[in-house]
Amino acid sequence: MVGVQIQGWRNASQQDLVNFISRKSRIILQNVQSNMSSGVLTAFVRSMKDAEELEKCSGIRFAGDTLRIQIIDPVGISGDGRNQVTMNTISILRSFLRARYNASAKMLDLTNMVNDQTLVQNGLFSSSTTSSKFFPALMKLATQDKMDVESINLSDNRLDDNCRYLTELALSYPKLKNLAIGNNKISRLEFFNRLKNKFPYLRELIVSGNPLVANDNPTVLKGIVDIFPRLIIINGQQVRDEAKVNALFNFPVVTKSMFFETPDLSKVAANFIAAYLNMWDGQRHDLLQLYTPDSQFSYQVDTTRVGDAPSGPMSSANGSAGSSWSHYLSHSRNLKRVSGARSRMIRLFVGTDAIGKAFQALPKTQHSLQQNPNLYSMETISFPPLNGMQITLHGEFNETAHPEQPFPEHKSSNRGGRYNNQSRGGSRLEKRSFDRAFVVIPGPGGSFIVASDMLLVKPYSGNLAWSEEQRPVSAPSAVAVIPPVGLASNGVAVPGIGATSNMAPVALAPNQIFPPDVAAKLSPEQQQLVLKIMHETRLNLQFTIMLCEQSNWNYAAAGQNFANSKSQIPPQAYQ
Amino acid sequence: MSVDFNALAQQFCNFYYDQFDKDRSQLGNLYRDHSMMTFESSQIQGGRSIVEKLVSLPFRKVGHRISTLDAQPASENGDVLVMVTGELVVDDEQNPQRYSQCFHLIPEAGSYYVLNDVFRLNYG
Repeated sequence: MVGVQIQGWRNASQQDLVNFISRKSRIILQNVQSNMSSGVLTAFVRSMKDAEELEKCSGIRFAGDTLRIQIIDPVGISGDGRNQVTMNTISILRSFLRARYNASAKMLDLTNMVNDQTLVQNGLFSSSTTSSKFFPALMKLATQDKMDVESINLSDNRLDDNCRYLTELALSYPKLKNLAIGNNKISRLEFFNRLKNKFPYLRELIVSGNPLVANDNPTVLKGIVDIFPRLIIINGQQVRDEAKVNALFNFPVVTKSMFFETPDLSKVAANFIAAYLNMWDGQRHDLLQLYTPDSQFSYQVDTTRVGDAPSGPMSSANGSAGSSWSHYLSHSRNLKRVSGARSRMIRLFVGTDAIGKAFQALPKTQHSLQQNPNLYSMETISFPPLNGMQITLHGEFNETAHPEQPFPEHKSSNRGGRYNNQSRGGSRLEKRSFDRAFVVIPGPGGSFIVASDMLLVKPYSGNLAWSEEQRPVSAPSAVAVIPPVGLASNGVAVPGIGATSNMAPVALAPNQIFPPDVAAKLSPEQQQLVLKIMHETRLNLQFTIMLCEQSNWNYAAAGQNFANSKSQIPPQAYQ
Repeated sequence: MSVDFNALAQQFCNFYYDQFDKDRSQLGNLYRDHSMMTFESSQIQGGRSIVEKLVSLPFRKVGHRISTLDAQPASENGDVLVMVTGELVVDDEQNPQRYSQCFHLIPEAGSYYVLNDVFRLNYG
């Protein structure tokens, strides 16, 4: 229930007004109470949506007067509706906010709200119901009023471990930079654990004066710092090097061809991968600091290949004949080939020691993500079970040197022995393609922990599958709408829509296709687009124009719409 | 770990691709409303939309052949990460295409569903 207030209706009866509103807006006013002397009518409507709809009717003419309608209770703060909606909670909160806001400093000073006379007198903390609704309402209004806030002071508010204020705050101001919550009653680290991933830009935090930090326990402080990846200063003490943090979160590579769930996640992931591959090539052993005793790593080799590589030495189509995989095969964990619990177990490396050994047993490499980002493709999705993200990466590397420390021959690992019989000199260093999947979770000090790490190495296959040249459509989300159309027998990708916009010119001239009346309605650009799409989709003229119109003459959108509705397109729509 | 995640991963992939090849419109019950599929560069959420997407793919006959498969337990709750590469034979094309796919499986009521599904074709 949301309260509304209506004025300017007194030329008619209350019932007339209710009927009028119901006719006009299909919104039913309930619990109507009118005060004839003040001319204010208060009522409730079912939802905020109704209330907002109704508020839009403000200014409408009724019985020779003009109705003035406003929402007086943005979150149903005044409870069950039996209470007379006295004053406009909303205006109390608004004026409170205005008094506490410093626009030039982008600062909202909400200290000691619990003792604010106006708030207390209006009963905003009188019951647990109202006080629990108070802060969400306040935040809602602040964002509604577009208050630009970088800093918030919530000190001296008796916030305890169960307080949800900060969760609300994060919803309204996820990019908050400075937060003070000193002199409250926070006693458990749990309070902060709930804020994981909530304030990714928080730079400075003040928590002093809470039971949790009464003893200045360094473990506790560190636990808090770990929650906020960009936190530099806590209680006035610098805990991270700001330049380093900025460098870490500032990624030099253009991420255009990549898909990401959210921009925030994308930056973090792209950063992580850039740094990771750099170290993988340079100081692989140092990467182990990202792994914990529970981290897992395994790798597998896919030696099968189809057709010819776009370039490179391997021209045989029959598996690994032209290539040498001896560095990988002994511990390749391909479950299609490796059976037996023990064989499988020794190929899953758990903990830093085992993972470190596996890393040293793989050839040294050179990736070129920084120089040639288009050779790589990456997808990131959040990974809720561990509060982290899953990154999948596809690309290539050059092997630059043989493994530092190959696995010793392992008699009991049945397949390992056989493959290791190839002498070291017999294995060539090559260019390979790879897929890799990481599960990355937040670690101490804003760092990362690699929880899961799976690597797949395969014959070099180039970047055709995602290269920008093949897919020049600019918006990443529109790319590749019909990908698996198959390779034509000559090994060239058959273009689906979205895969080629710089394809060979269409042979037919426009005037051979468009009847004069249709041509007259279309601009030359539109005609070109129609031709291209007709050619690519095989739709007939009528349906192509329909598709274009529905897609606002946007090529990428047309491709997407075509792909989305393909199953419903009737056969007669095609040429 | 009571469940053999290796066997599970294999069973899952066999079932998934078998069903995909027979009738991909029936894959919906392997996903939930919050499941995400990243298909090439587009992203689709929810079982229904995912199946719509799969059904809309422009081929009639399709066959998957798994080349390699690896799996890791992904959390204490029994989640499993599966990484697959394979070949995709579409309609009557002579040359299969290679793909790689990553599934994140979540246990639920004695079975598993797909939380994340990242699909990527790899030419070559």
